Amino acid sequence: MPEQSTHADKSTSEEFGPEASTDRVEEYLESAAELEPELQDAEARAYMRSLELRIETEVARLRSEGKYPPSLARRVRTYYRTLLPDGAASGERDFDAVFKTLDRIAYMDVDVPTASSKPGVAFVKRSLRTLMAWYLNYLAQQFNNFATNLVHLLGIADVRIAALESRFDASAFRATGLLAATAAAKAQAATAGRVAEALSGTRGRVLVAECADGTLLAGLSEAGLNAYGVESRRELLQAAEARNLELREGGTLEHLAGVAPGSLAALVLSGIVDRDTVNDRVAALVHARRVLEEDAALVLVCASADAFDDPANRIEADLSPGRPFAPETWGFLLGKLGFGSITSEPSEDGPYLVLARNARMAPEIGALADSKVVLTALEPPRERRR
Amino acid sequence: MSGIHQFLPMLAKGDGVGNNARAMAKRLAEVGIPSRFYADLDKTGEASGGHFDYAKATEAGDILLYHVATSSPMTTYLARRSEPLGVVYQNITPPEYFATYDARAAAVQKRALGEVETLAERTLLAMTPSAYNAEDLHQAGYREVAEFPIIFDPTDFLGSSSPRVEEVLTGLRTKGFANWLFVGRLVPNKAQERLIMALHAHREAYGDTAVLHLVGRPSYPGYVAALHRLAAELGLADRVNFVMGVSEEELAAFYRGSDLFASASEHEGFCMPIVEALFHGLPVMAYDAGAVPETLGIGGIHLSDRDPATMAAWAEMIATDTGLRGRLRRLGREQLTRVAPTATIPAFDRAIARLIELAGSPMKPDFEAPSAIVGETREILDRLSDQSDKESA
Repeated sequence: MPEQSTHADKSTSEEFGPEASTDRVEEYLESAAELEPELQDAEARAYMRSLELRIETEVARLRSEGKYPPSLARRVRTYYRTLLPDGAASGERDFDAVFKTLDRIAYMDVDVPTASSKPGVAFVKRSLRTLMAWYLNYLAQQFNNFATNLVHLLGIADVRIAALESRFDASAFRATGLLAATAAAKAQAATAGRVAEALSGTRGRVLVAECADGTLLAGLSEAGLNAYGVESRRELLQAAEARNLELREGGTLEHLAGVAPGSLAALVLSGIVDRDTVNDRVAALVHARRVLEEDAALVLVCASADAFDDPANRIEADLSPGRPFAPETWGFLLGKLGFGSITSEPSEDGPYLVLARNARMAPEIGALADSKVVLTALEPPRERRR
Repeated sequence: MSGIHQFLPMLAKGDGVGNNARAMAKRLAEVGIPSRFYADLDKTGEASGGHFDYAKATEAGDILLYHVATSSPMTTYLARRSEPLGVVYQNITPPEYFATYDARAAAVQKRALGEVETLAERTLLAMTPSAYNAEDLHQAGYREVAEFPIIFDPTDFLGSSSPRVEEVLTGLRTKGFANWLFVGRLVPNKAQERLIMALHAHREAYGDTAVLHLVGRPSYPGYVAALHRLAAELGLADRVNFVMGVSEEELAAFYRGSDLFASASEHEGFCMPIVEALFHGLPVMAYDAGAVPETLGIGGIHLSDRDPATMAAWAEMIATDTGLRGRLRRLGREQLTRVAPTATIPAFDRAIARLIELAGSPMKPDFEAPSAIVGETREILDRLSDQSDKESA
């Protein structure tokens, strides 16, 4: 154990002098004995890593033999979605059901039941009801007035919220998902070599999301990286499948939400960084903070603002909720979210890369990534909670 | 005589919160602290009544311990009382998981999250089984949080086993099927559909050689129906075994007779079934979400995503590689030494000592008193160790 002797030598000769050496060595030996579980952990982790490599090879074999292609996984997931209850996104039907129940029960009935199996009790109950009617009616009237108005108020709020939801329904902006030729696809093709260079030597899983037709992903795989891609557009997914790449079907945010914390050695984001809402872009960065290992690389493959003015991208530009950011904007957002070593690499023909490293995870960011991510990610988390 | 009395919305055997509370009561009794249960729904007959009944038996110097599990009027009741308060928090599933299926359940969960914050100011010490949960508590404003795995009594799930279930599982294995097992309520956050998808991928890749047993009570009919239909559509209707509600003996038999414990759950505050599986020497593979990384530790396979093909490949390797299964069992046993009562009872003792100190209580518990649960656990771990050694030999 070379670290032990280094530590002991340094302690004795430089800090404490020879007379303290025995105590220090004793103390160190005790602490070294406590390190044993840690060493076992390292051994266990190394063993698990060797198993993971076996599994990755096996999964690659299955894919190459066409045993369980991403298109089949996509069909299964799509079918499962059809089984979810209606109103899944907003719980609209549930709201209606609860609202109707509330409307039904928000009424105080003063007509108290008076029947009884015991002789004479029904008469007593009826007498009490008659005697107390003036009092109960007075109370019930006030309660019923209050409850009726409360239910009415909820009804108004429901109508107004429904109107707002329909006006700001983000799904209306997803038309760009139908387009195959996007500024992002061109940016990927133009920067594939530079991305491979930036990530050379990366050990561990690398995700490219979205991966379009797989041009950039293929470059990373050829460079020896353990890379896989995510793509939601069917025709592009099929084109990438034909290249025998490891793929998942789905949207970028949807996939990132399902990736375990600290499990990626690098992440390449494309597409979402050009055309989605600001909230979605920030959400992607927050997810990146969570899923990347410490000091792992984040690469943003960005189209330039000029690309959206290009007639070839007119449809995409018109239908997208967002526009490409300037490198400074990315630098600002990444810095705010705690990324380090942020640089941007412009190119002459438009697309540019933004590179950053994942710093140590702040616990608040981890909690955020598990919940609904919004722009408030940029606010100090403690203040936000209060 | 004053004591530390536990409040919980429901007390039941086989339930994570209930087992935890019962094990705590056992230990408190051993160290000489009286402890009664107050539960609004008592399925054990062990509670002294609902929460209002405490007022009839209150004594000066009492400390109250509340197990936050769901929204309950107990919160308001305890917030208004003056006795020193401790909170045990095993996590509350975020409401968005249920909103699709049951808006009322989602609203209850949301209220429960609010109640966790309500008690923060008044709570002297919170106890929770994972760093994942501790972060929730810190965010909610709790001043002091003791973090240690759930206290439980392993004999709760290591008792006798149902011969009939064991026979069925052995029969399936004889016919060439590997038995995959998941134990947990049928609820959306447990994501049982991902296990069905993995089973489908397994059949596509390796043939019809595995059966999935989903053991757990259903909560939302819509979700259960979706799982049934997914299995049927994928041609797995008779390969996915929905076991809704089992006895302790049947549960033990499922653990003993299975080849693999698989979990795709997205939200776990601790995941007790993983520990139960490890106690039964079952290899575990689990999606690394929530507190699972802490609970599973070095004891099993951590899945970074739930790609069906990857899960299928892992399951196949575990089912067919005897050496790997043995190694995983040994690692599982090693992990148990960190989450079993041998490690957690002393941590619980320390937390109780701290709670008494913070409350300024004159209680003088005898923490030197031996723990029956620790003794039993030690025997079980020794037995597991002997088995591992025999397998290695």
